[in-house]
Amino acid sequence: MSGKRPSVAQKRLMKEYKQFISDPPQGISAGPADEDNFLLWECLIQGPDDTPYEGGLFPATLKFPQDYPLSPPVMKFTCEMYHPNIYKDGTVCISILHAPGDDPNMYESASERWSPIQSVDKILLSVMSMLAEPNDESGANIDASKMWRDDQEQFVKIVRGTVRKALGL
Amino acid sequence: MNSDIPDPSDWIDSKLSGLKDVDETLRCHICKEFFTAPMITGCGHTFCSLCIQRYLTNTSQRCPTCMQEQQISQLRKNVTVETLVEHFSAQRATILRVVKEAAKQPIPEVVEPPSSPDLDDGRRRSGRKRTRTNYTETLVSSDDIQVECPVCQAMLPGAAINRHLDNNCNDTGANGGNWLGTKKKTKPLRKIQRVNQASESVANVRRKLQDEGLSTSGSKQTLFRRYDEWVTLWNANVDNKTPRSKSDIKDDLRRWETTVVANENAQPVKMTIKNIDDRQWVQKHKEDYDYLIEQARKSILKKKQEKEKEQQQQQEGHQKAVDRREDNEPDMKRSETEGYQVVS
Repeated sequence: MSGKRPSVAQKRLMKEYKQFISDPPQGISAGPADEDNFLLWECLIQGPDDTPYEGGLFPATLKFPQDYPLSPPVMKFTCEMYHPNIYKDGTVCISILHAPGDDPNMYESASERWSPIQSVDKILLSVMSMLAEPNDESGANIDASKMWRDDQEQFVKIVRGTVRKALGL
Repeated sequence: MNSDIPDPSDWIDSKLSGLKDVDETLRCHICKEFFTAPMITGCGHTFCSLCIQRYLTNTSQRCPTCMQEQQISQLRKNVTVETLVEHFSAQRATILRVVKEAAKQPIPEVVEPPSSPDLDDGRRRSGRKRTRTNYTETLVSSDDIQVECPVCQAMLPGAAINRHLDNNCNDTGANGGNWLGTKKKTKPLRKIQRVNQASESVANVRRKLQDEGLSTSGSKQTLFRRYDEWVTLWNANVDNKTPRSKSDIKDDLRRWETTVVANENAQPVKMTIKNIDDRQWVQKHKEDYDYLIEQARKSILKKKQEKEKEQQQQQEGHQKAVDRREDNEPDMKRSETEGYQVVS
């Protein structure tokens, strides 16, 4: 912890990590990329069953701000993802990751926003359910939103392609 | 490294796994530590004084748990929880050790002592009696109860509250000292007022910072934020049962400046292309560019020469190797690298 006393953010993330490994949610693994810097985590998310993402294993990073948990982390998939709520660069757009006050899409109620009582496992579970149920009201990837609404078959085809790519097939 | 961070999951594998919930309940949802100076919101949720004040000043004016509107002035001390935390955290390590040791040995079954109805009755009667005496005692000694001053939020005995208010919350006078001087010599810490950025002048904030012995350097924004954080840290300290010294709080403020503020400032300044007239820029830095180009050329040349030398050596080596072995795979690899170097 760079020799100094760990900050509030670091301390809280240590606890979250410890709790996470003692009781990990199904289909999710996560942890700090480097035990000296708890502000950057790497995670792996399993594609939920009965969705086009089934069978996939998607790597992502979670970047925490210095004032965590007052502000939320930023989550970014590091593999190619085709999903209405994921920007083309992999950044996840989901209400639990938006601080109350900033609302990029003007549709979220304050109750589903980030609050310090949320935690890493809740974020990752929300992302998993977002994979299962895209929200086409807030299009982060407009093409994917349209495709999901208008041509489900083609959407599934493209997603299956990214799943195979993520698995290196 | 994880074993030295106590957290609710410590109880999971023990015989008393139910204590995980107790442990969790006694922790602040924001920092996940046991409550320090717990404060209860108007909507009934409890947080550390520092955590909730920081959140309400910097992030949002809503309760983090239920999102109801919330203001710092609505916060009240949660004394029962504070005491609970104190007792539980003092016993925690012991309970955990005992429970974990017990997990290794089979626990003998607990036998309920037989209870006779007579005994029960007697107990109940004595219990009622005790309650009654307690009640009267409370009535008699109501002046000894600590009450919070509605103006400055200092805690003082009920008997002293009227005089305290008459003196405009100033108890440092010769007469006011008698209820203080008996036990502690330190005067009670007082909360300080927040400043409103819209109505307060910079000079005023600078003076306030100076009065507290804090740094007065930085922009207007920095000064206001520094004072704001100071108020948060200080007032949270006042809520503490055993307040820390002023220099400790100053250390906290310094740490906050070095982690949070320094990090914000470290974000790269966005340079827009509009700001730069590229022709002017090239002219101004022509010498630098020329120098860099020259350096780059030189280093490329040097690398090429080195690689050529290496290749020659390798070729010779390979020739020998190929002579010895029939496997010609390394030969192919070599031609690949050769091709790459021609391109560069």
